[in-house]
Amino acid sequence: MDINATKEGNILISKPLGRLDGTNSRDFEENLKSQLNDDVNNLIIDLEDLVYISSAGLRAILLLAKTLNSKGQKLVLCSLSDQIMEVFEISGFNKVISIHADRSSAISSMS
Amino acid sequence: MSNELNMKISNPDEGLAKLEHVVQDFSDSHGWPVALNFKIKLILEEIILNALNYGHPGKETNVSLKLIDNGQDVSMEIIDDGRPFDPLKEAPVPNTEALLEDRPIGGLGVHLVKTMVSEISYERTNDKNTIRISVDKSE
Repeated sequence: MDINATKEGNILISKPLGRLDGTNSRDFEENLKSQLNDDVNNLIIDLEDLVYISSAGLRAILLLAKTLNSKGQKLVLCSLSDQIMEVFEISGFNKVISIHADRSSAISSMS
Repeated sequence: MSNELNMKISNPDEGLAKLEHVVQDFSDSHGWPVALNFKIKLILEEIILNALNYGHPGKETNVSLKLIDNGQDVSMEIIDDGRPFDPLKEAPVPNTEALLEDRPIGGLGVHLVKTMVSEISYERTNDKNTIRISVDKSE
């Protein structure tokens, strides 16, 4: 899948397109991890163009959050559709991962 | 357009891609709203991938799906020839209140499915696992 990653200061911003499911979630996670380093070490995942997520996609996001959290860095999500927000709520992920309405508020929350 | 969809799947990656296309076509021809489309795809992915990934370690598992749009609800029957596995009893129950560092990685799929369906049952007969699910279209 296309993770559409860009950098803004020390923040990596990814805007995945399409579906995050059992076929591509592991690649998604590995791909993002490989782009994080000492200089670019916070992550925003903008879900505006994501149309579908399953538990495999949730696992990838949880693993990224755990990795960053253990180093004192941040993962912030933004622009979730109603359906994706519902999946995050059922899983209780909205209680442990910071979720913002849009990208600009996600970026401000990092500073 | 028939109100019934039948398909067979035995490979996780190819099968999931095929499932996505076939269910999307069915959804389009039945005018499913976005929320129902999302829910049905999620339920099918979770149940079918579970069967394919854990069915027969080292051996191919065959899954067959029958899905019917009854107008009021969508019913699904998923049959696999893997080892006996009742996801309703055997899948780990995730703690959705735990702190981030304590969050378990597994069990979320079945938890999502249980939350989204109106009925779900499991049966082991003739060396096969059968899961029957009903989803209320108005929810």
